[in-house]
Amino acid sequence: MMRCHEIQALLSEWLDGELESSRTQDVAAHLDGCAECRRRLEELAVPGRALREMVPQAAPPGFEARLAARLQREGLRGPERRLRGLGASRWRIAALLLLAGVLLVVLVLSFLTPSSLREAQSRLADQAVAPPTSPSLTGVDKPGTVGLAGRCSSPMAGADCWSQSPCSSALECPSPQPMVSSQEPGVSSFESLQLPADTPGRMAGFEVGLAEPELLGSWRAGELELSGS
Amino acid sequence: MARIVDGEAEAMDELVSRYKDRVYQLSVWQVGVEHAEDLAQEVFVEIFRSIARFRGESRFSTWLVSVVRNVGRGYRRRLGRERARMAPVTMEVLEELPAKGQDPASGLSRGELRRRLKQAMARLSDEHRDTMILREWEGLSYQEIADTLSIPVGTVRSRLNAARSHLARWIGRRHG
Repeated sequence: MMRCHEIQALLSEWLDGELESSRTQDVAAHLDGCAECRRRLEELAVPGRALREMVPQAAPPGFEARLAARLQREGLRGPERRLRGLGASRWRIAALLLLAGVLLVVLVLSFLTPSSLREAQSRLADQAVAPPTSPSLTGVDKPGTVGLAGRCSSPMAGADCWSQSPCSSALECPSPQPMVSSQEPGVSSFESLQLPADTPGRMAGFEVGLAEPELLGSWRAGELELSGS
Repeated sequence: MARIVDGEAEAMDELVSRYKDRVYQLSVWQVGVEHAEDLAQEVFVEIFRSIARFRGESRFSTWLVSVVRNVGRGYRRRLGRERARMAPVTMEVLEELPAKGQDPASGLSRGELRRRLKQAMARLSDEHRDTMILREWEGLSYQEIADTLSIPVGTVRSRLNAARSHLARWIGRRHG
């Protein structure tokens, strides 16, 4: 037999029809014979019933107009909002297109840059005025190639320097024509100079330095002493 | 809903018109009459900001209760008043509808009962009030309330029991 306080703890669920069926009969039986618990049940039922019947307090006059103005100010109403609504997807698309564009530009630049630089270097080399100094050769890259840097007395320093007087008289440019990467007027450096297989002094992993023009003869004759690097 | 998401003024007006009184009443309970309109406006601003996230898994009116609760919480924090809703209760301009007879259970006139109920609802904690509203206004089951508020069903049960006890006492029929 359940006591009143136990029954009263279940009355809220009883009102909501959420009481377990096993207890429903106990509560019903108790309420039949207990006026105090029936009174309590009535008390607990009042708030819910009144709430269900209650008409919400009306918003003050002009509420809608003031709200509309506020929504407009915050860009949540009208054309701006429409754009924003569309924006959720369209901005994403626009961002992707922008990203794709940037990637394309980077890609194109990465292809264009070396030749552009080469052109710029050629222009610099063509315009350069070389001070009269002795040619020198430096640098080695890999088997079959010798990197060279030339300081040329020719006013036409650069790629042509090696085929022009007076440089050409001291050093005949091997074929193919060397690549020029000149940093200053009168200085030509050759990133990669392909030397014929039978070129005297052709060696891998060595540095060639010709400080004096007369040494070029030795180089040509294969008598030049090469220093390892 | 799509029309509202697009900011179509007519659709938004329709929604405001339908729910403004309910939002206003919930706002009065949250912060009192003095700040209720401001909060109600903030609630609608939030609704229109986040309506794209409303997936229709629950009723819109149920979602609305959650929005009022969350916005109201932030609003009260900004006000810096722990019990902001308490003070204005005594000054509340209560809608005095003509009393039509008495409520047999409470022995109060219906007008008086409504007035006391509104005051009592304002005194309830947010948790108890929201649970009562979801049950009595929205007619949700215990399981649905639990899902909506992300709480166990047992908590729904105890909150409703406590809320009804408080309201019954405050309305006037003190239980001995």
